[in-house]
Parts: sequence; structure tokens; C-alpha cells
Amino acid sequence: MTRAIFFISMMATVLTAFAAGDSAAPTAASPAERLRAAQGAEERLTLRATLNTATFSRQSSASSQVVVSRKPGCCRWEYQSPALKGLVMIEKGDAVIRLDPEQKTASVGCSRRETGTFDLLLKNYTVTVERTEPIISRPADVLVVKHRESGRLAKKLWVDRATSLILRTEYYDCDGKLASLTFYTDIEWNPALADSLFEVPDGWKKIALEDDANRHWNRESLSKEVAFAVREPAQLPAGFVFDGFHLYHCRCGVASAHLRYVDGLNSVSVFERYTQCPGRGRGRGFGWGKGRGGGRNCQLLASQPGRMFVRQVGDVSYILIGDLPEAELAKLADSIK
Amino acid sequence: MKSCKDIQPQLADFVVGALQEEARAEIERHLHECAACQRELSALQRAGATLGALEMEEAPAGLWQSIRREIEAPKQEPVRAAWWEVLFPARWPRLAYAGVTAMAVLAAALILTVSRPLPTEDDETQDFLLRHGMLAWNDPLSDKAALGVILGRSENEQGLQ
Repeated sequence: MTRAIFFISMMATVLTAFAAGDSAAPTAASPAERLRAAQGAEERLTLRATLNTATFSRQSSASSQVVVSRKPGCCRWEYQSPALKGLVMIEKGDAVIRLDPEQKTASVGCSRRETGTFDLLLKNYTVTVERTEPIISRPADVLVVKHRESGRLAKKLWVDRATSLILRTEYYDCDGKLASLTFYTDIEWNPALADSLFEVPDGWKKIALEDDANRHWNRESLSKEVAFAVREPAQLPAGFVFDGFHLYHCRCGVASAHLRYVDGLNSVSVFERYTQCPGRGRGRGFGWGKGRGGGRNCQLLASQPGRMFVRQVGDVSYILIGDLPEAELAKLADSIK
Repeated sequence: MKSCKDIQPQLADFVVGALQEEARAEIERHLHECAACQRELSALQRAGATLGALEMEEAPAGLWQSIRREIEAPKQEPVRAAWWEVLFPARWPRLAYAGVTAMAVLAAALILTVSRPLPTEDDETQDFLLRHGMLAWNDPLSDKAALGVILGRSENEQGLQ
């Protein structure tokens, strides 16, 4: 009898300790494992929440309160800022849908989930737990992500200890300046969410942002499609690898080759297209294709972190976009052979 | 009965005894009843006492002749200075002008080269930015809420152009 009571009390102690550890006690996982768990946490949670988000660029900043509805495989972001005119973003599987209530249009894009890029992130960046700090009264570990080679601060994440949900994110650009900031202000766990929240409303016009989204392009097939020889950079910035070829049509209908390079956290796009685009000349622009072979131009972006570098070789313009120092973008452009 | 507004302008004449008897009597009646005018009278009397304590000074010989010459001399039209004379008075050495000009040119050059005007993305640029942003949607740890702001702003700015 005494043994039975002792056994039961021991079991109760163990179970109590386990329950407490699940919610608040420090986890034994390494910072990298904590980051990996945080990356996948959103996918399995059901919640309705409010968060605040802000982006800062050299020229302007923008912010909005966002109502988020999330369940496994689907998420909906409703932007409350008047400046964003009722913008709604929906993610459903690989599809990313942008709802424009003014025009009643749904722009549908596709963004594949590549499984290998998180390993690339851990290869190029270090992760440390800096401290513990509560967000909306929930204990959170502050994970600091720094570029492994330069030591530059890239991200700070406040990861909920109980669920691994990222409660706050700060992104720092290549110049070390805070470029975006997002944090939850309240969360309702496991609400009932109607499927219609994640659908394009009836009667709205759907616009496909990408042709043949599922087609895998290579240099030869893409060259044939854009009618010029697609070139690749010979020298990539440290830590970057090739991500993929894509076909992209600009608004004037001209086909562009889109080459994408990633380092796990950051990306660089190289767009290649004929300079003599029928849509060229509208607006102010960067003045590419104004008749000088070999001309180039680099500008900070006004609406988001990063730079755009434009280089013209013969009849083809190369437009590079990425959050990289000007010298690195220039080196990348110069290496396109 | 007169008000303070009518009495106070006559107080100076009252102090020096320059008023007629009737006016003087009226002011005295008013002063019996009005503290404000009594204070004003006291102030005038103190000022008068101070002035009275000063010694009379002889005017310099020839003062009146010099005043008369000034009055009778033909008047000359005022000469308006040219704008460059106002901006660059002749008393400044020419070297100072050269220095100021060089500084201005240097400042203008610095402003034009160091703080280059930031671009406003046009339609063509926005297309590429949207495409670049859209493909970053599923990158590890991407801040989708912030990315939505960037994509939304880009679209709205396009609409405004």
C-alpha cells in the first residue's frame, strides 16, 4: 500500500514538472533548433490575432494594424490602415492571393516552399538566445540571427516558449538599419474559422501573376522563350546559391528571364529582358535603355529595403534587386557573362 | 463730473499751475475721490522735482546759426543703393567675397553629390519589385505581414501614377 502511494505521488510529480516545462521553463533545445521549431510553428496553429507591422525605407515608412486568421495550411491577413485601402493577403497552400476590395480583383501568385533553404540559413547565419522577454504577457526567447561571415545583425525574433510562435520580428537591412518590425498585440487560440475566409469572394476577377507557375525552367528553355541568350552571374555574393529560373512578363507583355539567388534569409533577383520594351519611357524610372551600351545605374529603393542595380549590355537590360551593399550588387552585375 | 480719461491729460498743466481757476477746481474735486488720478499726479510731481534739480546748461555759441544753415540748405534726393552694394558692401575686402562664393559652390556640390535624390519607383520598377517580393514570401522566417505592406503599397502607388 505504501509503495503504491509512493509510486502515485512520484508519477504526479513527474507529470506536474512536464506540464510546467511545456509552458514556461527554459527548453533544452539549441538556438538553431528553437529557430527551426519557430519556422514551422505557424503551420500547425489555429488562431485569430491582431498584430502591428511597420516597414521603414530610406524615403518613407508605412505601418498597419493587421487582423490575422490562421489555421493549418491557410492564413489571412487583413490590413486595417486606410493607406492600404482594405488590402487582404491570403496564403493557401503554395498560392499567395492579394485581394483588392476597390477593384474587386484577386491577384494570384505562387510561392513554392523549398525545404533546403532553412539549412542554408543555418549555414550562413548564427543563432543565439539573447534573453527572455515577455510579449503580450507570454514568456519569449529572444533569438538573434547574425551573418556568420560579417557578424552583421540580420534578425531578432521573440519566440513563444509554449508554442514556438514568433511573437515579434525585427529585420535589419544590409546597412544595419531596422527595416521592418511586426509584433502581436493579442491572440485568441483555436477559434472557429470559416473556410470562406481563405477563398476568393464570388464574382471577383482572378488575375494570374505567373504563367506556367509549375513549370521548371532551365537556361536553354528560358532563352528560347525570351528570344535571347540568358546569362548567369559568374560570381555570387558570399553564401548565396542559385534558387531557380523563372519566366516573368512585365505589364507591357515583354517576357523577362528572372534568375533568383538566396542565402537562406536574403534573396537577389536578376531580371533580364530586351531593353526595347514597348512600355519603356512611361514614368520617371531609372532610365535604363536610354541608348548607351554598357551604361549602369544603382539606386536605393524608395519603398522597401535594398537596392536596384541596372546594367545594359547591347540590347539587353539586367535589373538586379536585393538587399546588398552597392559594391556587391555591382560585382554581381559585372560578372554576368 | 469728468472721468479720469478727461482729467489725466490736464494733470501736467495742473502741476505747473497753468490751468484756469474753474478747471483747476474741477480737477481738485476729482482728485479727492479718485485714487488712480492721485497716483498719476504724484508721479508727475516726482518727475517734475527730478527735472527741477538739474542745473541749466548754456547752449554752445553758434548753435542757432548751425541749425539755421541745416534748415536752409537745399535738400538732396536719397540715393538708393544697388542690390549688389547691399549684398556686398564695399567695405568688405574682395578676398572675403571670393571666399564666400567658393564656400557656396562647395556646399552646393556637396548637397548634389552626397544626398542624391532618392528615386520614386515607376511602373516598370514596381513590376520587378512586386515580383521580387512575391517570391520572397516563403523564404525562411519571412515577415509576411510586413511583406504584405510592401506589396500593398507598391500596388497602391502604381494606381496613383
